[in-house]
Amino acid sequence: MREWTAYVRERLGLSDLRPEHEAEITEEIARQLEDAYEEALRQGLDEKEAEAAAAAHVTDWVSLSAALRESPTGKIPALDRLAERAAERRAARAGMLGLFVGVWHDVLYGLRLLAKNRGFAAAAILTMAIAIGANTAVFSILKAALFSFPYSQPDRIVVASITSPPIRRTFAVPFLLDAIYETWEKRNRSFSAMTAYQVWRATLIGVGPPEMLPAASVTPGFFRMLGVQPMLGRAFHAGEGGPGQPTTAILSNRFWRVRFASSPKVIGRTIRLDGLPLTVVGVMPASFEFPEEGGPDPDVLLPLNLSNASLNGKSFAAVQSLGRLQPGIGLEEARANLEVILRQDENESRELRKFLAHSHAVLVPLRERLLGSSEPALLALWGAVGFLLLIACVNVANLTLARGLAREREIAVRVALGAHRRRVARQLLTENMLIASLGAMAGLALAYGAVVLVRQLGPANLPGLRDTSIDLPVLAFTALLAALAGAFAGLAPAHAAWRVPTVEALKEGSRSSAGRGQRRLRNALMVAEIAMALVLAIGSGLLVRSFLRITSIDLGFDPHNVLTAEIAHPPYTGSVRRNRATNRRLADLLLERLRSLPQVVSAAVAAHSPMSGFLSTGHFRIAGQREVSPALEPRYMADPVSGGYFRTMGIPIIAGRGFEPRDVSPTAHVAVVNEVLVHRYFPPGDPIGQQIVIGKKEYRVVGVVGNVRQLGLLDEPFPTIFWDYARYPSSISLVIRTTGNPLVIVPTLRAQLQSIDNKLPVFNVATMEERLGKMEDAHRFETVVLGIFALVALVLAALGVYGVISYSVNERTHEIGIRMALGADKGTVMRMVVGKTLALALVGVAIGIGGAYGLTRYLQSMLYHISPDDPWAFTLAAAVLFLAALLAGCFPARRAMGIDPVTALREE
Amino acid sequence: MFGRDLKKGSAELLVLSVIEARPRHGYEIGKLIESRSRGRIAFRIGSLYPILRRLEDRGLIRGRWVEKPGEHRRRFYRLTPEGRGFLAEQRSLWEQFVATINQVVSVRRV
Repeated sequence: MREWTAYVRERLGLSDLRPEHEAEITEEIARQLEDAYEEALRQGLDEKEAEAAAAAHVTDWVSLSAALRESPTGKIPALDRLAERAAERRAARAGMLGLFVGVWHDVLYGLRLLAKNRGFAAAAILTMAIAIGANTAVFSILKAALFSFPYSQPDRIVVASITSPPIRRTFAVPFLLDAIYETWEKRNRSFSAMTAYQVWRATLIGVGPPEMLPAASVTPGFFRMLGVQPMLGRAFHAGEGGPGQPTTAILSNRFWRVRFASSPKVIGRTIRLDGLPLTVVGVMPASFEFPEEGGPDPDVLLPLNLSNASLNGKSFAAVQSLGRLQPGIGLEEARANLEVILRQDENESRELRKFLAHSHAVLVPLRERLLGSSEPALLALWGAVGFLLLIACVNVANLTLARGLAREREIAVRVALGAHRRRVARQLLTENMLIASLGAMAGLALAYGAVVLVRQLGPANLPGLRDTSIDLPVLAFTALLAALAGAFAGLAPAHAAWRVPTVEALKEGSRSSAGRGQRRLRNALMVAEIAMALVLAIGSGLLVRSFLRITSIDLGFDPHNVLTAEIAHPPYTGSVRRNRATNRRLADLLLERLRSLPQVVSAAVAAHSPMSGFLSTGHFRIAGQREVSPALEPRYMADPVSGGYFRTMGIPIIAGRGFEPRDVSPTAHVAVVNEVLVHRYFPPGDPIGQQIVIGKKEYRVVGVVGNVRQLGLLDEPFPTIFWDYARYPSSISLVIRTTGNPLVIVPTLRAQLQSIDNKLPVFNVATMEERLGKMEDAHRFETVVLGIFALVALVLAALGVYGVISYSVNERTHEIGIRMALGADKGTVMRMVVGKTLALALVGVAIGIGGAYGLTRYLQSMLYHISPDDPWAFTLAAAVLFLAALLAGCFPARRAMGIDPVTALREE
Repeated sequence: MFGRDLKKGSAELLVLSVIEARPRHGYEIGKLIESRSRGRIAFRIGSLYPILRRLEDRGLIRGRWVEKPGEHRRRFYRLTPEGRGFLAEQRSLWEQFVATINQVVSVRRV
């Protein structure tokens, strides 16, 4: 005899009810079936027949289990609908509490359902977790970048500068002269406060080993203008730093922690900066950030006193300036005010007036300036994760829709038993909210990991990077996102449930009642998913192509096994001639010792090594060519380099020679030029021996070398003139080519320098490859992050396609069975299913390409030598997505081919 | 024999009626309805059981497990006081309903 209890339990599947409840129901039905079985035996049936007779009492286990689940609250339709309505009105009167209890029930019910459908739950929650996690992480980065300005009312602060004669992008920092700042500060009617500052590098001696530090001189109003105060000690007094005043300094928090072990006794101590004794009067709080984009924050702040700048009138100092707009004054109004002041001054020197004739006042909000180059990347990431979230929502909606027959039956039964469609829809919505909430929790964990990772690996020029964290506003954002995502993902299924026709779905053996509308909805969702994933894939493809271009840039030199280091100037003492002699002696001595090391292949010095971002510029002309006014002469960049520099850097000498010892002679005015300069400005013929005129001096070209990316990775080679370092020794940039890992010789280098002069710091020590790596970092970051998003989107879209096609095959099992019974072969079935995938994927790809054309132009500023509608990226991404969709559709197609017509028809 | 809808509307009344005299267990209730209707109304366990549960949920009937020697235990249902009141009310409603329907349906004979 059959074990009826197990038989019932297995089919009823009420494990989500309370255990004692489930046991009672199971047992009672089992006992009744047993009664039926025994009766059949008594009537003379054999055991097998009796079992079959008993089993025939319950055929639709799904409806029965749904009816029993509904039971505690379910009502009989005809008689009690009125009572139910009344109860609902009472619940409505009970207000929020009633609703809360109802939703609470829905939540419990939803949790039980998810626990039962583990596969579905895992897929849906994981999808949401990835999308919400990515959004949370990007939001926290964005929030830190956009809003974490540690100043009071940062939106009122603007950068004030003037336009200067057109120069290259690389030099375009906001530029102002101290004299103009003075007049603006005195006469403007738009700012409640203004400040000016200069940033420079200084050598610190006396606290540990000598060190090169970023330092800044700021006007005393700096602190009041930004709305920040030192955490220890005091800010600068008005007039502090003037002639005859004792010099004072305020330290950065970092510097204070590292060099003074956070000791409060630092106030009153003396440090020596560039040989100048300074008394420490304050320490800034850790949250303070200097209002400059990129670069390290100054470690020492000094008072800047401009009181005699305009009187001096001969030499002007470049400063940077910030102003706080008065309430109610707009940017343009303030700019016009400054412009008027620029024009009205008559006391300025002739030189300044001439300069100002071509200049205009420029005001840029500080926020914009600090965000600078990161803004397009941040916005692109923001857009990408937005797409990702939409795709995830669509996917979860599709998964919910495709959960199949059982769920539809359940809904139909509930509706038939009198449950309101509104309530069923709410139940479905709650379930998706639940998925989104669980996803959000998992997503937070992901986001936390991502933020930790980004803080370590993110590009250094990303503002607010160290403030990035998952804090309260981020949590609130995540909660909001989960609610929106849940609602969005739940909308389509709830809508579909609304339309389940009860009678149809309840018919025994009925396939699916999903109407054409619902099928269309699912198809539309799939198309949307493919389109959005394609937009991401194309964007990512563009960045990858651009990044490949960047990494394959011909630098013009060989960066392998090269160490670069800079050495600070010895403090200036006396005349230019004496200083040059000191520099030259130092360089010679150092090079001599370095070259004798066995690991060193060759070593040289230059005023500026490649990728350092600095160079001096000027105008030149070629002897024998017609003279024009100096301003119209071609521009060059200059770099004094020592003998052996070209060999050390691996820069090819194309014609003539490099520098030799004989070039030191005071009568030898020689120069080496690069190819760009020759191509652009020299007459056809041999450039060697030609004369270049700069000002009044003439230089004979003795060599032509290959082009080098001098300023940075993305800056095209510029016409360059090299002088012999021995003639013009200025700053000392060492380049050392070694046999193996260049970092091995760093301790020796430091020791040698120490033995020559123990007051000179060596800084910016890095291999050339490290420097290049840092420059690629920002691009790599964007590329990798967007690439990850695109990959996730691709997988999600493929899953979506699989879900939809798989569902449609299930739905059409019967139809396919009939077709096969009527003689359709497997190939026809395959074509039918794949054809549908193909058609939908094509529509999705077409829409995606259209969308991408509209959207990729926002990536323009992030792309290097790649057009935003690069056909390769478009074609490749479209092909990949199309193939992924087709592949995802192939699995259900294979299943369709395996349908046995006999089984499919018997199931009816 | 009779359509699903007819059966559905009257199922509760049928169940309540057969346990009016004394408590009966679930399978017995089904068999009794079948025999009293001379086989024209038959409930399968799968359809009857949810009705019993619902009636019990609404407090109209009450089930109790009873174990008799030599037999497996069964759940017996009896009418509660509310159930009796409900049955009386439904029965009179039913009779009025049938009479009314008859008045309309019988017109054909005239």
